[in-house]
This record gives sequence, C-alpha cells and structure tokens, in this order.
Amino acid sequence: MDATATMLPQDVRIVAVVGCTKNAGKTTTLNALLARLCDASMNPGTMSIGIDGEEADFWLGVPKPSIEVRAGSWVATAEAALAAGTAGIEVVERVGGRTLLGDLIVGQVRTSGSVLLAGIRTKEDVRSASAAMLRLGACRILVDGAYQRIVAADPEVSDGVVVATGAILGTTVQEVAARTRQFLQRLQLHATVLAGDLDLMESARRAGRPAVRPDDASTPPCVVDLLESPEAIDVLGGGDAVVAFPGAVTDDLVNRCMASATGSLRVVALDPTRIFLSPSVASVFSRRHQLKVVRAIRLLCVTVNPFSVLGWTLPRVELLDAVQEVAGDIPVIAFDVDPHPS
Amino acid sequence: MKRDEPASRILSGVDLHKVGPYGDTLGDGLVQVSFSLPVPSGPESREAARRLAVQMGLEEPQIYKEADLGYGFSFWIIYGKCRHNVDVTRIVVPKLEAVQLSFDEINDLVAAEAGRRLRIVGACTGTDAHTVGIDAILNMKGFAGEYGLERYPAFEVFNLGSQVSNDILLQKVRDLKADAVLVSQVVTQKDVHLGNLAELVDMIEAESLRKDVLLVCGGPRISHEVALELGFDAGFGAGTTPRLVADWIAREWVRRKVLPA
Repeated sequence: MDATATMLPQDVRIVAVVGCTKNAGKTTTLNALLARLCDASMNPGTMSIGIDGEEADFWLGVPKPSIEVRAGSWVATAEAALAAGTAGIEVVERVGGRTLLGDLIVGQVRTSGSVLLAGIRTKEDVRSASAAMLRLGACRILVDGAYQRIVAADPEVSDGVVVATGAILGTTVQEVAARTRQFLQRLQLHATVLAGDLDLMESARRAGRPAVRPDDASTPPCVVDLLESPEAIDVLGGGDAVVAFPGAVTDDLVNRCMASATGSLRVVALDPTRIFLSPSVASVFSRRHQLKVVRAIRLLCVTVNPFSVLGWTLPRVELLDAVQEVAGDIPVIAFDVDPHPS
Repeated sequence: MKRDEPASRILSGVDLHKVGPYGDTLGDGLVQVSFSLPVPSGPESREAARRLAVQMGLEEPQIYKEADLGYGFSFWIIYGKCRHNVDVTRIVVPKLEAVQLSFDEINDLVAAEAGRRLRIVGACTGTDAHTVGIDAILNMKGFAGEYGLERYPAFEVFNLGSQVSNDILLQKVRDLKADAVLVSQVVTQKDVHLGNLAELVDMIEAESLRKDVLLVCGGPRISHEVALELGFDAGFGAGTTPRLVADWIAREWVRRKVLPA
C-alpha cells in the first residue's frame, strides 16, 4: 500500500493535521499530502485553524516552508490573505465568517503557487468551509492545525487525524518519544461500548451539565449543577460510579470527582478534544479510574521530522523507531525537509 | 504602511517590491545597530564588534561610537549597509478598522444594540503574575488619559487577577455568561504562555461557547497576527489604550449580532 493510501484511506474525506507542538512539521506534512493528492488527480481543499504559509515564523523569525497549491485545488482563507501568496485564486464563495483579515472565502486555484492560509478560527468555521469545498468539488479536505491545538481533530469536524511530531519536542530521541506518547495517549482514548454510558452522556448533553450515576445502567442518570451537590456526593461516595461531562474535562473537575469518590470512577467525555488533563493529574487519575469517550478519533498516521528549527537534528532511523514504538499500530512516516542543508 | 495608503504619501521613485533601509539616499541600505559586549572597550573588542556586524550581514561596517561601560562591558554603535529588501506589496497584516468611537459613542452603541451591559471577564492566566497590562485596560482609572473598561456604563467587568488557571477562567466564562474574555499574557521563552493561550481557545470550543464570546488576548509581545494564529479574535500589544479595546469589543459584538456567522 502506498503512503497516500495509508494516510488518506478512501472513506476519510476530511483530515486534520495536528502537531504535538508548534514547529513540529505540520506545514511540511500538509505540503506532502497536498502534493500526493494532486499527483493522484484528487483535487484537495485546504485551510488552517491558525495562520500558515507565512514567510517566517512570527515568533522565532526563522523561515517557514510556504504552502504550495496547484491549479484546480481549493482553499479557504481570509480574503486579504490572498494578496500574500503567489497562487492565482478565484473567489468562489463567501462562507460567512469575518476576521481582521476580511471575509472568509473559498476559492479555487487557477494558477499554481503559494498561499497564506488564515482566518479560520473556530470549529464552526472549519465545518462551513469544509462543507463548501466538498460541495464545490474538492475530493479531500486537509485542515492544518496551529500550535498543539487539536480542535480540528474533533470527530464531528474531521474523519481522521494525521499527527506531526519531531525533534522540536526535545534534544534526545527518548524525550521526543516520551512527549509524543503523551500526546498520542490523549488522541487514542477508547470509545465506551456501554449503552449506559451513552445514555448518561445524552442526559448530560441535553442539560448542558454533568451527569452521574452508580456504575449500574439500571439506575437513572442524575444531572447535577455541582459535583459537590448532595446528589453527586451520594453517587460518587457510594462505590463505583460513572460521570459524563458534556464539555471540557479539566484538572479541576477531575480532582473534584476524585475527592468524593470512594470506588472506581469512569469519566466519560464526548471525544478526546474535550480532555485537558495535565500529565500529573492524568497520572494520578489513571491509577484507579478510567477515562472513556463517546466518539474516538481515527488516527491515520504519525509523521516525524528529525530536524528542529531551533538548530539540532536527531538520528532519523532511531527517532522513527522510537516514535513507532510509542505509536503502536499507527503507521509512522518520515516527512523531513532539512532547514539547514549543508 | 497601509495597503490602501494614498499614493501621495509614497515617496517618488520607491519600488514597493524592493524596500530596503534608507540613510542618505534611496537604496543606500544604511542602518545603525547598537549593542553591548561583555568585554572592555579596546582594540580587540573594537574588532570583535566590527566582525559581529559583518556576521549580521552588514557591509562596510563603521564604528560610530564606542564606550567603556565599566565592570568589563563595552557599548557600540555601528553603521553599515544592509543589502536585504522586502516586497511590501506582499505583506498582509491583520489590523483594526481605523474608525474609533469615543467613550460616549461606545456606551450609546451598546445601549442601543444590546440593551444591556456587555459582560467582560479578564485575567492573567497560567503562571503569569504581570497584571499591569490587564489592569491598565480594565481598572476604572484607566491608562494614558483614558478611562478603563470598568468606567464604561456599557460594560460589566470581572477582573479575576493573576495566575488564573484556564479551567477556573473557563468556569467563570460559563457561569457569568461572558460576552468577551480578555486574557493578558507576558509571553516568555519556550512558548509556555502561547501554549496556555491556545489551550484556552480549545477549552472554550470544548464547552461549545466559542460562538458566544469574543476572545481577546493582550501583552507586550502579542499582536493581531499572534491572536489569529492562536485562535483568538483579536490581540492587542504594547501601547494599546482602553478605548481601543472597548471600541473593538463594542463594534465587533454589534457586528456579530447583526451579521451572525
């Protein structure tokens, strides 16, 4: 199977490219995917939830790879950003949002060149731009991330996720692998298979508040305002229990649950993008309790960049092996462009 | 330079595709740099300063000023020629519209369009304890001769102070049904504060609150470009005065009410 088929299976229409951190290699990955899709005559559509395609990293000042788009492909960006690239782009549709760089537009590339992707900030923006590009004829949509933001990985927004990691995460292979593992663990959380958990989450979603119940599906869900309310404490303090959070799952919420829990807890989130646990809290929690999601993320592959923009290079083969070990069954592919060629 | 700058303000003969430094004549590339070296002033440090200027890419470096600062330090001012140039026509910078409403106009606009006070939650988040910026914008007494947002009848302001964790800020945003969130960050090395800002945006998305709040960040190294990169709606840097922030919040809130995305 070739790399494109591995990374972009037929049933995946919208792909989020997320990075373990800033400068991990998202743009390089995006460019490689765009080129391969074009080579396969599959006109891609692309956008960024931050800003991408600028000449230099606004923070470090180091040069960045440009985003190259070919004639026939599609882009979603802010209208004023079109002037920053060399590609000839025809504005086809306005998708409703407005930013400091003007209206969000969807355009088709008429002459190949570089493009500045900017202006898409919210999940809603991603949804409307993806829908417009697919309707207009794009075969696949690539959503470029920003920093370590993973909002585009929400299964409601994208069908699959490519993770970019690389030497920027650490000065040793071991450090990069360890931090990549942490990032992947969040994205690889398993979906609950229990109908009771889904039912509990449905109650929580409808109310917009947490819902709790003993780990026994025959007990009806109890929606609570506060985790310290008498109803919540009764459940959490009464043995094994399940808690469903309809929004963000944070250190504070998890610590409050653990403070009242007498048995084992199963915390259910909507999907991995809603989970914001620090490594220390996640570690304490996982000793006795479980974290599950309603919708799991489909992880397509991990791309590895052995070059750091901060000036060091890690041994390619060792790094690939180490990342493959932490990625398990997920394919690991090297996409590297040496920023300091000799 | 603004993209829509009137032609009359552009110097005759300037090629906007190749703009470089100007000293005495167009295209001479003259620049001045100044720096300190941790060695005393003297012939060797003079040569070191000159070589450093060459490594910076300056041609024909001339030492204009040297001073011994004592305690083993020296100070240097060097002139040189920079041969690099930029294509100004390809620069795209996010910026605010030029119109700026007065204190009264802002209050009147919010009263007419919202019919209530807009709720603003502000904080220095993460480990950041530098509240001087957010206080200058929010506190009633204000800054640079302008009242802070607390003084505006249009706004109900909740200043949560310093070192507020993202999850506590998120809870306040939800509980107070905030219309706008102002986060102040003195961005430091290793991008730690940038990560913190990015996480806040994802948390607000996770709570399905993103479409309901204006997200604003501020700090000495923050710009609108940084803000957009991080997923915020606007970013205000050094020199921002309270009215600029008040004006943007009021007009953007009204714009979204009239033209929901």
